[in-house]
Amino acid sequence: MSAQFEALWREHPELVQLLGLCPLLGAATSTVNALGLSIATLCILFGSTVIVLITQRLIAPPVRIAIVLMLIVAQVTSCELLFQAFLPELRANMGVFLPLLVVNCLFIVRMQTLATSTAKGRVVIETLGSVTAFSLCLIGVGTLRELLGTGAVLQNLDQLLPGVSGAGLTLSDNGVLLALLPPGAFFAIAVMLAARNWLQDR
Amino acid sequence: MQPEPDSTAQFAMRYPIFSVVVFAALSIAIVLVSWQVTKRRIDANENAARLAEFTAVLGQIPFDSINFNTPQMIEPPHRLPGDTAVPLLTAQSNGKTAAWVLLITARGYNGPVSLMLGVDTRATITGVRVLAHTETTGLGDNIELQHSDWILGFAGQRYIGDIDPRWALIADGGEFDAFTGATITPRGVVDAIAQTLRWVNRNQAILLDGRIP
Repeated sequence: MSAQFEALWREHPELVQLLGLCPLLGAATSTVNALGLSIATLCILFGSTVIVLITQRLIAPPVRIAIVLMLIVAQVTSCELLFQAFLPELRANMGVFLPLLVVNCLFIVRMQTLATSTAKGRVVIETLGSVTAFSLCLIGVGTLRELLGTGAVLQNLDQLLPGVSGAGLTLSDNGVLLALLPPGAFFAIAVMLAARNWLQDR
Repeated sequence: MQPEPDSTAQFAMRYPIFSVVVFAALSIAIVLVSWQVTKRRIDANENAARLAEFTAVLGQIPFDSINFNTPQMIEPPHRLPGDTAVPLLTAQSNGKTAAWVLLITARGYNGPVSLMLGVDTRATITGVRVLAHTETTGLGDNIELQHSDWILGFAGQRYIGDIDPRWALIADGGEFDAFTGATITPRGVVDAIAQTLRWVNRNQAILLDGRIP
């Protein structure tokens, strides 16, 4: 648990290492979008972890980055196809940010570590920790922006869970547009960064 | 008989290209399998989404077939909005032309706005939807149905005479609302639709003949 906690807090991929900010800033405009991207990230990371764990001995060091990238590209592509088939509306919302997961350094860093490390269990736990941290941050930013930007929470939940409709809660009809625009993402992440640093220094 | 794992691993270490080939094959296999699994569903989704769009722009007009895989192209120079070829689709009911769908491009604030416009045989709009745009979130994107009802206001409208003064924003002396914070986007959309309606008015007989002006 301590390794996971460390990944979650002391080496938070978003808030400390500032890795993989692109989807965080671009796609997290609502809770549902953030959840969708988190699920995609989790699936891709899980798939790549399993493959790298099984085949680690076959990965030759000089071509390690190429192989890791290739595996991630394959996972992202199949993830995109699955989303298109089963959650087409959510896929349309995520736009370019789902294919852009290919260049998310979070994956490359994790897979590189996994392929070279001898302490497998520890690395797997760390990976789990960083994807949790990433998802929590994504969902936090998404929810904050949706709440401020549209005055509602959990809109369009049916895009993620077909059949669930009207689950969203509208608190106000007026939102602050800025929160939905790109600067809003920077403000949201700044608020979370500040909160984290404040808790850290207390 | 399986090769001994350690010797395979050693082989991979000595010849990295072997390693690359193995993982390339694995990656291709992953993509191929997921493509096979999802292909039919994705096609079905896309067709359903496309049909839903046509049904939306054709409103109450019943149709039994539409040539959405083989649109007729109206090549420039034409008097439709934009400088590119405009696809025209014909919806038929019992073998007779019931309505037309045009994919036109309006000029927005940030760039082109793709519109799908349904017109019945009497040149009355059956519906309009936005297919793609790059307008500002929260301002210009109110042309989209998911953000505002504005686009629904075009259904049932006609363009009467040579110059119909109603076809402008209220701010410009016409009859169409703009929405708060954006004027250029709705003006571009109204202008493009007006121009298309004039074109349909002028070419109604040719279109009814099944020919392309």
